[in-house]
Parts: sequence; C-alpha cells; structure tokens
Amino acid sequence: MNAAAEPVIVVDSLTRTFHTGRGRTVTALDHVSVTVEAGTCLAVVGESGSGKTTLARIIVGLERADGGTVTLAGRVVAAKARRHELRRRAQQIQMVFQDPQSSLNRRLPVSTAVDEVLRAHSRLGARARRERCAALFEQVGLEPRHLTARPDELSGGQRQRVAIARALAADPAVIVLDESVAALDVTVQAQILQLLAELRAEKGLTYLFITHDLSVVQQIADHVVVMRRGVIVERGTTEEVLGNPQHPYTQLLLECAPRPGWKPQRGMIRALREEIAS
Amino acid sequence: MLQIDDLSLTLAGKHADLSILRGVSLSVGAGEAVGLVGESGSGKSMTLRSILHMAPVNATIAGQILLDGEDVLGLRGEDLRRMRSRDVSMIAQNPHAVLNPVLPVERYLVEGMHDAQGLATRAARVRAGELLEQVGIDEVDRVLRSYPHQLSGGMLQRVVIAGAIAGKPRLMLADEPTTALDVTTQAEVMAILDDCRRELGMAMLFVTHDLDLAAAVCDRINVMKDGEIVETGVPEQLRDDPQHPYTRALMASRPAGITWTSTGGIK
Repeated sequence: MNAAAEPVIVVDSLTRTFHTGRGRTVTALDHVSVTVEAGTCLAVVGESGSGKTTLARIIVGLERADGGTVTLAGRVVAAKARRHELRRRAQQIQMVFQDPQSSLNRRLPVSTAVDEVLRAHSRLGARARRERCAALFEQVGLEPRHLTARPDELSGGQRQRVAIARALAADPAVIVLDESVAALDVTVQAQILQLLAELRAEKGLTYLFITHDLSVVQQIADHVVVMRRGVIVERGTTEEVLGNPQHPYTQLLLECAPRPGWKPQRGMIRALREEIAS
Repeated sequence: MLQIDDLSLTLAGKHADLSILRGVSLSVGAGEAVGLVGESGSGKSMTLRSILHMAPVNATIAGQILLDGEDVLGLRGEDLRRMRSRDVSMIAQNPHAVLNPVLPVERYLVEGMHDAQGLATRAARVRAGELLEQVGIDEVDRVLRSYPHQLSGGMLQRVVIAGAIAGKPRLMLADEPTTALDVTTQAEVMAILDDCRRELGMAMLFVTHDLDLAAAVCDRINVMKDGEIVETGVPEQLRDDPQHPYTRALMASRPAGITWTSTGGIK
C-alpha cells in the first residue's frame, strides 16, 4: 500500500454558524469536506470571511463545529473537544499563527515557549529538554544565542522560526499554518517557505496551509481548495487549479494577484464578479 | 514637480540616535506616477511623511524637499495648511484612521471640500455624489449616509480616494493604500486609483512593499533599503535587468515562472 495516499486529516461536512447579534447569523462553514494525505501540503485559499481560518481552528480543536466530523489519523475527534482529548490532539497536530508576537510572551526568553511544549508532551528532564530546545533552534535556522532572546529582540522572521520550533517540539504529524508568512517581508517569506519545505521533506510532515496569497500556494502546496463564503468552490492539484481555473471566483483571484507585467483590469474584475453572482 | 534632495532623517533615541533616512533623493514629474518600494523599516513611509511634516517630533531632518520650486520643509502656518489641503493629498493604509467614526461619510467629503476649496455645503454635497460615482460606487446615496463601521474596507478606501481627488491636487501621496484589503478588492481599488489619477493628470508618489503592484501603476520605481534608495528605473528595466543585489533578491523572492497569465487560463 502506498503510504503517501493515506489520509491524515479527513474533514467531513463540517458546518459552523456564528451569531453576530440582533438575531443575525453568518455561516462560516457550510458542509465543508476536505482530505489531506500524509506528507502532502494542502493550501486553503480564500479572502477574509471565506471561513478558511474557522476550518483550521476547528481541525486543531480551538473552535467547535455545529455539525460534521474531523478524523485525524483514523480517529474521529469530538466536535467539542474535552481537555484530555485536546492534549492528545496537540501531539498530533500543531498550529503556527500569523503573528508570533501575540503568541510569545514578551517578558520571557523565547526558548521558554518551546520548553513548555516539551514539558507537556515529552518525559524529558530539564537537561534533556535544554538540549532538545537547542537542537530544535538549530533545525529552524536559529543560533544558540537566540535561545535567551526576548521576542522584541528578534526580527519577524526569527520569531516565526521560534513558532515553528515550538510546533515541532510536540513532534506532530501535521502542522496547520494560518497565514504564517503573511506578515513577513517577501524576502523573509521566501526563506520561511524554504525552511518549511525542507522540514516537510526531512520529517514527512503534513501541512494544512491557510493563505490568501496565490504565490505562497504556488511555492509550497501540492493541492488547493478555494473557499468563498463558507463553501469550497474549487479543488484540485496546485497545477490544475492555478493553471486552469474553472470557477469564476478562482479566475478572479488569479486575475487580481499582482505579478510581473500585471495591470489591474476594472472591466475584467467586474465581469467575473457578475459571473460569480449569477 | 516634486524634488527631494539628499533627505536625511534621524530620530533622537534614549541611548543613541537612529538614522532612518540617509541621503534620499528622488523626483516626481507633473502627472507622473512614481513608486517607492521597500520592505518594513526601509524608510519609505517616513520619506512620504516628511513631505507633509508628519515625521515624529524627535526627528531631525536635513536636506531639501521642493514642490514646484517651493521649499516644503520651510513651510509654516497658513502656507503649510494650504499645501496639505490643496496641493497635496494623502491616502493612508487604514481608512478608519482617516474617517471620523461618529459621522456619516458624507460629512467627511463635504467638510473637506468646504475647507480646502471653500465650496458651499449644498454644492459640496452634489460634488460628493459625483466623486463617489467616479470611484466606482453604485449606491451613492446609501454610502453617503453610512457611517464608517457600516462599510467594508474597500468601500471606505474608495471614499478616501474620492476625498483625495476632490480638490484636484497636483500630487497624491499613497502609503500602502491597499495593503489591508483583500486581493480582489486591492486590484479594484488600485485600478480606480490609477484611472482617477490619469483622468485628472495628478502626479503620484506610491509607497508599497509590493514591487509588482508598483510596476502595475507607476512610470518609474525607486527601490529603497535601510534608509537609502538603492536603485531607480522604469518597471520593465527593474524586472528584466535589476542592477542592485537587493532588487534582484526582491524579484527572486516572488516566483516569476508562474504558470498562469492574465490571458492564459482566463478567457
């Protein structure tokens, strides 16, 4: 049997509605189904309000679903996770957020964040944890002197490397990346994407990459799903979706992405929007 | 028309002074669109803010900024007010910081025209409607009555653009005007901004981190790094034959061999 074809994440008909007050509701996810095979990277592409972040948060257990199931490595996880279940899930699946500034304690050395995960998910003693920390830092391209640095003393790219080291500390099979390079300058973005590609090849990791940026998709993803207003409008391999988009919304996203030689075309945008609406 | 010569800006720090701009020189001709492209901390926004006297209070500025021959840095009082309200307009990244949250957007436009052009309220109201049509807004009356929180970011940025072109200033300063917007909204707002600017023959200095975006709407581009301009050229030249290693790094960090083209996969 081909190990690479085994699904690590199976999301089946996930639904989530938010109440926005005054009796109004927003359907963030409307029967969304997604499968991610082991060792691959699936990009979930969409604009704000597409539901892509809600999908990611439900998969890692930060948000509950109203309906549907999430299956991780063959085990169905509860729609509303309990504490011990979340702990087990955290060992399988870790998340890297857009802004590491907000997920690192600014008063503590950044290695503390990694150490906390090691304490929770391993039986290592203090000394072994220190060694493991140093090894993880090296793995993500940080230097030993960065272990004792505070978040403020690091650049945005370095902080994101710390966040990746923290995710790796749990030794997960899956990493969910939620706009993890969106806040970085493009030259730094390229370096982090390179690092993520190397780590995936080395460790056989599976990625679920939430992004609005098609150039990021092109650089890292094997498969893509395109989301709009809680619904998946198109899915396929990166080559299929970017090279031969079928849905007018995917076409609109591609048309609007800046690239060399590009000019924004008002008429084309309007025409595609009308086609989507109809 | 706009001539910046050897502009330096230093921030006085607690321990040491911080050099933000180091000998920045650039020019914008009448009706010309010029890009100022760089990553965070490169000094691109600070260059723009220096023109409007919006640099931090602890900044020391040296060098010269001329607007049609007039020394901008020396402007004071009424002259400074005139420059800011009539000669130059500004579009910032966050429209929420520009629009008053407790007033309908009509008041923003009407007051702006009242102050800058001395337009009577009734005439300004009519003009506000025309301006919103010009920036591609369909439901003009509804938008005019709306408060900022009732409108999307893209809609608000169009309102700000409407305000920025109201007095037909000679120069428009745009500081990452679409960075906070979704990509499809960004393309639309950029197209509108470009159309309006060309129709009115306004010059523009466009600050952005996105080289491709700048190339789409600018005649010339300055690439900035660590407070200095490292390369200047027309977009095609920067794309095909970048001279400075940093420009090359910028170009290389976006995949150029993208399989889709504007005419390829789409119609």
